[in-house]
Amino acid sequence: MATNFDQGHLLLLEEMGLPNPFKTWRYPGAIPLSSARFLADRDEVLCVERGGAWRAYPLRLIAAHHIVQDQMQDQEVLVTF
Amino acid sequence: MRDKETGSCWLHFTGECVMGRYAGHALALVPTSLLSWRAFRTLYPQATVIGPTNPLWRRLLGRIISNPPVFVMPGFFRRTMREPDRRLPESELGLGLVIRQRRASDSVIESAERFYPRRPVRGAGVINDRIGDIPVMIASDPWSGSSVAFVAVMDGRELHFRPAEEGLFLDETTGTLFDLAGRGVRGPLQGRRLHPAPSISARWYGFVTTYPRASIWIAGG
Repeated sequence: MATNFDQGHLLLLEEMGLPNPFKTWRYPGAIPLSSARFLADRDEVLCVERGGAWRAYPLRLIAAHHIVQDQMQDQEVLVTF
Repeated sequence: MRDKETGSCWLHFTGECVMGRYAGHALALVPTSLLSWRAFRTLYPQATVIGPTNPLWRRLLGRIISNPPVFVMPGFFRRTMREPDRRLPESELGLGLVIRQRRASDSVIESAERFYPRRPVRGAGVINDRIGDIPVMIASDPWSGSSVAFVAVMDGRELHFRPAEEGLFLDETTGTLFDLAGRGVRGPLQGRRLHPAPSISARWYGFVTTYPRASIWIAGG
């Protein structure tokens, strides 16, 4: 998944003494689809499968983090935007 | 991105470490797809979704970043990039395929990359294409306009698709209907599944920065 910032850009921010605005979201917690009333049909979600289980990462939730560190079926996954 | 344990720097596009202790290593890529919420919950009703537990200001910022009214490349960001490839607008959304094949003559692995801009793919509904020797199918999610890609071969037979019902695609070779997960849902290949083609949803500038030799799919080309 593409991001607006590449690695060189992050380092440039640090060299300029600026804070990195994108903080990794660690283990956000997952809910059943029926509980997700905050999403509209057209909202885009990044779909990840591990060990036969599927999980959606709504772009509008993860975009301001750029990186989500999560666990699915006892496997560590890194979701990047 | 950088890991805190060693400070090594990794490309999020490919999972490769380009600087630091793990330079030369790569994280294992997990196949993903970008779909509409409507398509996802239809295809995977037993799945889960992450909840809105992050701070409200990040959720509001995320709405803007994920769907900006106007795409603006920050000036200082541009300083870290090579000259833009103007074959497409840099903000163009699309699906980039990366196909690697081992050459039979000398076992060298060749890589071919192609970018499928979202808008013409949506207009077509489904694309039948070939990258190197590999037939591929690119299908458009009718609710979001995003695309998914599959290898259009099953049991050694090349398949050829056209749009059918909403979110479904008909293989004209066998008469089987497939969904956006690549599953045969009706017809002779019901229950079978197409193999996903290695792909990444991206803006043009990001894909061509990583794969500067990428070709572009053109409707009617």
